Amino acid sequence: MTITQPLPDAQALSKEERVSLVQKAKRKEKRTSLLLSVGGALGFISLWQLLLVTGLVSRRYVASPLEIAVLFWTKLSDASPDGSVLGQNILSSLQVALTGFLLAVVVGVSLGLLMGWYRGLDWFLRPIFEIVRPIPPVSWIPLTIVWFGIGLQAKAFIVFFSAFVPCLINAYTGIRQTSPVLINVAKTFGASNFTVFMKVGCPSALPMIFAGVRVALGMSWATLVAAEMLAASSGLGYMILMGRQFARADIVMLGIVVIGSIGVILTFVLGVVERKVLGWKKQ
Amino acid sequence: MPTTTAASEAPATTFGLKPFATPQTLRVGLFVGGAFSIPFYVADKEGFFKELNIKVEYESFSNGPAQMEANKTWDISATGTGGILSGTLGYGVKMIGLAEYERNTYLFVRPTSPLAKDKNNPANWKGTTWLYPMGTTPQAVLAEELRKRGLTLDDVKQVNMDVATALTAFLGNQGDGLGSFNTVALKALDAGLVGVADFDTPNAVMATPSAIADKRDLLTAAYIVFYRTGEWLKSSPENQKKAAGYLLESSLDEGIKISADLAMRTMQRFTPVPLDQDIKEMVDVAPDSTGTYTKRPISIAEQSVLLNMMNFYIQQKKYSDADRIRIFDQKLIDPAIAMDAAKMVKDLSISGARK
Repeated sequence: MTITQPLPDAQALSKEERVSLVQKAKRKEKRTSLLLSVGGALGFISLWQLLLVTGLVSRRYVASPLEIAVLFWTKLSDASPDGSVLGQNILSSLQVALTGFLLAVVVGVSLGLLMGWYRGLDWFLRPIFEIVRPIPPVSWIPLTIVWFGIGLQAKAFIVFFSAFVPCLINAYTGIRQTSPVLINVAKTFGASNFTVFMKVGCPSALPMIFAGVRVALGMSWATLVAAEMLAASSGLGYMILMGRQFARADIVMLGIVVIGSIGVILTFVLGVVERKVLGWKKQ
Repeated sequence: MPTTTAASEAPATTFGLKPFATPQTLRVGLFVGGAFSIPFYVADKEGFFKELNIKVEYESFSNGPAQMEANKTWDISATGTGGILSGTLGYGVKMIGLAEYERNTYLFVRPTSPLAKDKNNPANWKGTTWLYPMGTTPQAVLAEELRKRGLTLDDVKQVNMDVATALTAFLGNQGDGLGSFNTVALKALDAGLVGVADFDTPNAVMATPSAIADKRDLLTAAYIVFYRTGEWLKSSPENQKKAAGYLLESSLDEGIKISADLAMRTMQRFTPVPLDQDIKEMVDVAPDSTGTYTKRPISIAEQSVLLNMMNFYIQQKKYSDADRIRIFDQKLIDPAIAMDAAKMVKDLSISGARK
């Protein structure tokens, strides 16, 4: 965002005035960005409603924002046609997505850091990882049923596979980019290889790790529908599938909107965690 | 123009229809692994369409609602109960005929299950987990079985899975009951599972509104060929054997692994609706004796689909009474093609196959 009004001569202002001026400019920028974001969202919703009102898009295939809002309210207490109210579906999906995601973060990040730091492990595991990496998560579905049955484990496994790859790659790349200067300083002070790994390598990989976790979170939430195609009796992906089975475009669109909205909330929460953990980097 | 001729000058086509003057393309939404759709494939392979100058293009499906969702890719199709309702209500696709009243075993349990020993005891049903594709016939059948024993779907756990995956999972010891249909249901019987619910359900011939508007003559010819092929394949053991071979071929082509024996048994169970019967059930009307719909007399086909079958879905809150009224009001079970076919059959005095 550019500040359009010229700043007064900085030399002529006191320190307090300069701080106040910068704070004012920042507040203005924040307001403008908020206004633009809200305006963009409202504009999109208005255009959507307009296309339906004018009949340019058939109501048979697309529900209006207003109908979705009403359905959202109704679905909070009405279980038809999929058999679960919205709250149950959200909780069920969060359970699947977060189980798979957290497992992927723990396994993917740990493995990525270890592979990035210890060459032997990298050589040993890399061929397997390179084979597994391009496999689409949904292609695991037939085997997943045989291995894990049809419960939470099976669905979480599908989500795990979609989130595992970015976690591992980013952790690996992050730790490989650790500055040699920092490593040498630590070694000069007598730190062991493991201490350097823990106290230098891991912290310096954190920004890349968070970037990977952010991608993984999006992917695990996006894989939800596929995971719930495997077998489900509740969940947002399941609700979308049932909307499809009963030709209810409004149910499908409500599912999409709720998945998108929760995705935004989860990304926001992760952003807060990231700012807390990586605060030192900014300083 | 479609093209029929008087009996005296009838060309040598199998069903007495005159070929189209220009080549026509009929897009068929083929439900694979199900006998009710097979007359399209048999007619194509036996050359019944080709002799009328009709080229057939297929889009294959193994699930009725998905088939209806993709209705822009086909002109005519045959589908099961889930497809009839989602197609009419969701996409304005019209039902133009009844393909078959299918008697199929839909619900299966393991031989060791308490339900295999006593299916009349409600306690044996309560709390069980069922694997099947929701929104399709097995769900309606399960709902009915539960209703007979004073229970509802809320008394069991349902897990949504496609039929092939559900069978794999069930054989892998998942769930207490399996819902299935078509050749997969016969595979379940072959695997030693015990059937606990048979049911008659209507399968239907569907056509898209655009095909009805733009390809009416082609649809009428295809409609007659479909029903006459159904009669043809039941007219002799040789024809039935041929049809079983085509069912096997079309299923394997689409990755549905069935045996020649299974295909033969599927064809033996298949009871296609004859042309004259379908025309009667689509066209003849009488006042609704249940009083559900009183704005006009209703056809036998409407009664079968909208009063008998749809009740299950309404009881389970999958569809509403308003949905049912909408199908009646908008005449989404449409006798127009059957009426055209009746006129054509009468004008030409054509009856049955020539060979």
